[in-house]
Amino acid sequence: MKLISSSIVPVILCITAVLLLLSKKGLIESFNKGARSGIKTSVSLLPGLVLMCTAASMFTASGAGELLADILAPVTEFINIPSDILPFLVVRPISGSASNSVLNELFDSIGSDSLSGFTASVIAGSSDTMFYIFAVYFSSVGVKNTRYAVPVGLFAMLFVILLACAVSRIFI
Amino acid sequence: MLGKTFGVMCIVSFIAAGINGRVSELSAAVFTGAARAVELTVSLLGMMCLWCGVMNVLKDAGAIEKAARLISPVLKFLFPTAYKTGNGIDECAANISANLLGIGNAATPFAISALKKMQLDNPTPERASDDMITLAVMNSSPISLMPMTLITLRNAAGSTDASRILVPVWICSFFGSVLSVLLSRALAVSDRKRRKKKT
Repeated sequence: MKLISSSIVPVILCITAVLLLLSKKGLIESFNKGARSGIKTSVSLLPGLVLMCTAASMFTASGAGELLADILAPVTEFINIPSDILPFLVVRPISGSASNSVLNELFDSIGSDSLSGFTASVIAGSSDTMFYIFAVYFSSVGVKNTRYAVPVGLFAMLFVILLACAVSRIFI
Repeated sequence: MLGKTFGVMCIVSFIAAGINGRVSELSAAVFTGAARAVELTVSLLGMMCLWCGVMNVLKDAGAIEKAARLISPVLKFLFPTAYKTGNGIDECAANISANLLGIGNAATPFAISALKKMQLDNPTPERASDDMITLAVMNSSPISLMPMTLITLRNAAGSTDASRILVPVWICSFFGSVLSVLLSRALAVSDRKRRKKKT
């Protein structure tokens, strides 16, 4: 499994290489054109990225994540989520690098094989940085009204968290 | 969306820093955060450049079309408008494949170019179309077969069996993704019905 997943990227590149060697149509021009559009896209993402990275970094440095977790503690206890994973849950939908660093702290303090560490790992693997993704995606095409995207995303995230808590107890 | 998220986080952080007495850390975080965005862009630039180039080669050679045909029934259900017009459907197929394979960095450029093309068929450019929301929601809770970063992180933290999370991750990410897609499709259909009644 590990071998398969790590050979995917090289295999795709090799297919491309074969196409470049065999084609008579000058596919290298297609590569250049695509690569140029890639540069343009990533540079156009920078302003949004600066805002989100700054906000995420401020959020963790100020201790706002921990504070929010403290406030939410009674609610999460009620629905059976281990309370020590709360800081992680708060930053998870916002920033990938922040949630990785919080997860790492969690592993250091209570262990990656404890129930909380295991549950947090499963949630990390089954969810993504929702707010960040929505912000980048929708602002890249100038969409202001995102309609039902945020409610659906939040609901799915809550569902994944609850499911992960239940499934982790079985698999640990 | 971006402005609101930033605004809320910024103000909450400021208040929290005041309560926790971490104002100097907050000010340092502003500088490191902004710098990290540039670092991230620079580190993404090479991969974005390479992938967009490779994708363009595969597209011009007709390989993506063939791959997209394989998952075509799924695509027809997920993105009915893009499927009909053909605008952005190849990129959606590539985005789904990249997510399944766990190459998240490659998935983002596909999604964004898909959105740009979907915008061509969007009668209200400031309002997200149904297909756009489905794509965004799918990417915010993707099915992941191989969360490599996570396993590496667990391994580094001294886990005795770092990849034991795989089966639970498959279960949770599969049901999470299915739920979010079904919900967004259902809301799209009910929204259309409501609008029809109004006119």
